[in-house]
Amino acid sequence: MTDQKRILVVEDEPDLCEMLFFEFQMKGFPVYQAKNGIDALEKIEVYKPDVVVTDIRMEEMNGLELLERLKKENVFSPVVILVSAFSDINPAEGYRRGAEAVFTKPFSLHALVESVYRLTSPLEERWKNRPADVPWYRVTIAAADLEEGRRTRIIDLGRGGMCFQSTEFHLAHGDHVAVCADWESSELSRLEAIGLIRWRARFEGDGDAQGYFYGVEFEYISEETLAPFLAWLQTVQPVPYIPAFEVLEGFPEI
Amino acid sequence: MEASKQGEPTTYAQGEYWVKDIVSKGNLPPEYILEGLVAAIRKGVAVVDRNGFFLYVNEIASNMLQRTPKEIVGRNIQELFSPEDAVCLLGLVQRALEQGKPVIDESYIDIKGALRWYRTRIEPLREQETVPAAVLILTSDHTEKRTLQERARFFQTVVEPANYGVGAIDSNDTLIYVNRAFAKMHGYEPEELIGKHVSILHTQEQMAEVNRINETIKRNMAFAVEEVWHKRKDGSVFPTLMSISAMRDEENNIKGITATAMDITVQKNIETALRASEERFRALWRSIPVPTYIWRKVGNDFILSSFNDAGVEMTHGGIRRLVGISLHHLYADRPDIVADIERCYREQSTFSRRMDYQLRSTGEMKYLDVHYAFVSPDSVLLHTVDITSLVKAEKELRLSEKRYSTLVEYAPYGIAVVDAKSGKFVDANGVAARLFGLNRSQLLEYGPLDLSPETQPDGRKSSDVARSHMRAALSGKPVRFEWVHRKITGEEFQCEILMTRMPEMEHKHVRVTIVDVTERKRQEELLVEHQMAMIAASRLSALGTMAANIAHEINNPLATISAACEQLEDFLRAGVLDSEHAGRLAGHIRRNVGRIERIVRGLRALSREGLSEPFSPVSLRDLILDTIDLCSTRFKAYGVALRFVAPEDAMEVQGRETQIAQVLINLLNNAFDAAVGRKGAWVEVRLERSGEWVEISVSDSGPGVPAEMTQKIFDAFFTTKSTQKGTGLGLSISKTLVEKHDGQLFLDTQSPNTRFVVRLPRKQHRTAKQKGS
Repeated sequence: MTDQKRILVVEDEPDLCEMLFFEFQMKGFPVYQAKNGIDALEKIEVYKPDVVVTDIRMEEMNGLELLERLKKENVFSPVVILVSAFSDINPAEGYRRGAEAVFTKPFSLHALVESVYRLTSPLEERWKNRPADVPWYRVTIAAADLEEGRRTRIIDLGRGGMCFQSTEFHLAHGDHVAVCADWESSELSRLEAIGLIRWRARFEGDGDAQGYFYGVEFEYISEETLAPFLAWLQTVQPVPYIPAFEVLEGFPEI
Repeated sequence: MEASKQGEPTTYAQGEYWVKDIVSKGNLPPEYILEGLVAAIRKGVAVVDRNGFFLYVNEIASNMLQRTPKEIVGRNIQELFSPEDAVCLLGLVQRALEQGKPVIDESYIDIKGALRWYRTRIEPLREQETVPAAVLILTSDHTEKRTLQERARFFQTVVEPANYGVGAIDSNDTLIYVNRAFAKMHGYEPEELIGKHVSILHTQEQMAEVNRINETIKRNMAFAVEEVWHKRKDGSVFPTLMSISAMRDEENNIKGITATAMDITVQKNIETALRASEERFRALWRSIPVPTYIWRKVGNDFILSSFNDAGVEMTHGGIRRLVGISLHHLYADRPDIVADIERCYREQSTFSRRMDYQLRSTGEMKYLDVHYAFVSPDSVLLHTVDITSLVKAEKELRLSEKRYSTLVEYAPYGIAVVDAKSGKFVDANGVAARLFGLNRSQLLEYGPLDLSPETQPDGRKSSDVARSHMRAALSGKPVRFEWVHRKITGEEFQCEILMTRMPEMEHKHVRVTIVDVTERKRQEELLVEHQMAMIAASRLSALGTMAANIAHEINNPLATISAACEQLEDFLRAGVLDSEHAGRLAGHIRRNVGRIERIVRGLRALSREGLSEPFSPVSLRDLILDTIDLCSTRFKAYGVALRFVAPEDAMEVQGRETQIAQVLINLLNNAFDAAVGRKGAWVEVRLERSGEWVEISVSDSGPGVPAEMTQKIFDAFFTTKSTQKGTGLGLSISKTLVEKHDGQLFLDTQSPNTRFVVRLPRKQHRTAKQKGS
């Protein structure tokens, strides 16, 4: 099928590599294998995959280096899915560096395939479906503009998500959250989105101020705010899929 | 004198006699006979009447008065003589006439201003009719004789008692005079010699020399001082120093020879002795081992005039070049030495001074003991005793004494001396006193036992224990023990005591060193606590790293297993599971479960509490393989090749598996950290036998351990890594663990790469039970 998305699996564990190959093959994807980053770059040159599923720990260019090389050329394609064994990378770091998804081993094949489908869908379609029957928390954020929001660590925007500061303590990894953000003076003045919390990090500000920084991957963006967001995306083309504030050092909590 | 006496004409006396006879008989001969007679008499003859008028003078008398007879006859005495002489003469005439007998007088008479010595005999003449009472005056001029006599008297008073010999010979070499000393030195009395030929005083050989000298003297009319050998009466010979001169008469004719002679036997002996002595002195002076120099005064300066062999040696010969050098020039920079020499010369004194001195010839620094001595008439002698080593030794000694006392006083521990008999302190440093809360003099009122509790911590009586220690110390063996002392305040403190006998014979003294170990013990405990904390922290940190690695190691196979299960379920759900798919997935699952099993086994080796684990047989090969599995993916991920080289057999040793594994992990981690980040990085583990040992070596391609650190790397808390990576306890703990296996852990400095070697004995000498306790 010519419209099927091509997938490159980069994994040095032969058993796992074979398994992933088999899985994507069964789902009808054209699949290619590479055993390290260098190998992967060659295969990408030849097969032009839409998705690169890559392990992180590998000899001869690891997954993060590969990610950096790819996103330097084009932030939108191919989609890069990082698979980490355990401690090599914090998911927040993976998203910030531009990975569209970060999986930690052991992981669900179904979830992986699901995210491949989702991440290969066109941007206009990806955030159209409002998730039904899930509880969510509402968070409202206001900032002067995007730059100010980032500098004051109140809100930042990525290609597929956002990070924000909140004094809410009950939000956790995997929770759905509805975010309503307003900027006073930007082309993008408002964003209404529902997303999944992918990471959080404790912060202690001046005085009594304390709370969490949260990283959210968008699942749905309101019709009214989607178009300006897509326009902003094309203009800015940010590398981070979900941003993280620069000043954050380490992401201890997942 | 004698000669001139002898030379008087005999006719003189006869003539006088005759005249007297004629005069006395009153029978005056005819005038011509009288004239003839008077002429024959070599005396002045005059006849004067009682009033002093001359009736007659002969030629001699008129000559004496330096007048003609015509000027004299008919004139009065008062007219012809000075008033004093005239009164005197007239008095004599009067006396002769009154007494009727001759009057003799000798006196100086002024003749026209010249004093002459006249001997005058005045004879009264018989009164005759034709001849008035008159006197005959017979006068002879004895001026010359008188002078000679006076000279002779003077000569005798001077010469006779002289202690040197005086003698004279006449022209026939006959001795005509010798003084007593002269005779005596030859063993004679003067009388024995006078009139003898001079050869009596000399041997034949000596005579030749005497003749030669006398001839020279006579010929040249000279004066000579010569050393002449003489012969004594007993035949022995002796040297004399003679001054010889010719003896002359009025006409300067040589009449004989006079000589003074000095017996110079003694002087001769002295001279010989002196010469010998001088030679001896020279030899001595040259060879005395004390460098000696002589400075001689020249003008306002001194010059170096002499030195001895020792001086040559001391200056390495350099002194030879300095002979004749000016003192002020040589010692322009040492005014003290110049001043010394000048003082020595000025005061003609002898003194010593100690000084430091740089040798002019070699530049060597010396300490000298310099003795200055004045040497008559014009020199200053310097003895220089090299006391460099002495002074150095003295200084060293003084320093050492000072050091020693400083050491004692400021020693960080108490030092005291205890008299074994009284049991009291007899001396102590400040520290010792302070330990007991006393000052030094107070401490000396106590003994060690007064400042100890009744019993020691082990329950024994302090006095019993102390006595036995004291006995042991007195036997000459240093005794070291722990002791609880009590301060004067009652507070007890723990100390370490070292007792040593003092090397004094008269007292039984024991030196006691007291170290308060209370603080040390506390510090030691603190240190141990601290170390334990560090070890725990290091274990935690290691554990953190390990946990992350292990999670990673396990998650990889888990991912495969989980994926396999998911696929299996998918196949089952779809009803398309065939045996090929099932077998493939089952194989994936089994393989990866096996991997996890191995990892868990490796973990188990680390999980046990090492110390309580008993010694048991350990297959090093399997242990290494399991351990390598724990970290293989990390090595792989960071591009560090990990090789394991080992023989096929198990290489079993007795040991604690956990501890050996911990050591291995530690070494592998270090190797990884050293090698990672470089191209072609590798780590090699090698297992091999080496004699009685089994060796596990871990080498890496890292930059190596700097030579200056090879000693330090096994120290606790030493690390070259950043603080996040390590606490620096790894190698020190590993070394301890290996040593508990009677093994060794060392850095192989011969290897071109960093190579740590764990050496374990193939056979444990002790049983497992002992090890485990």
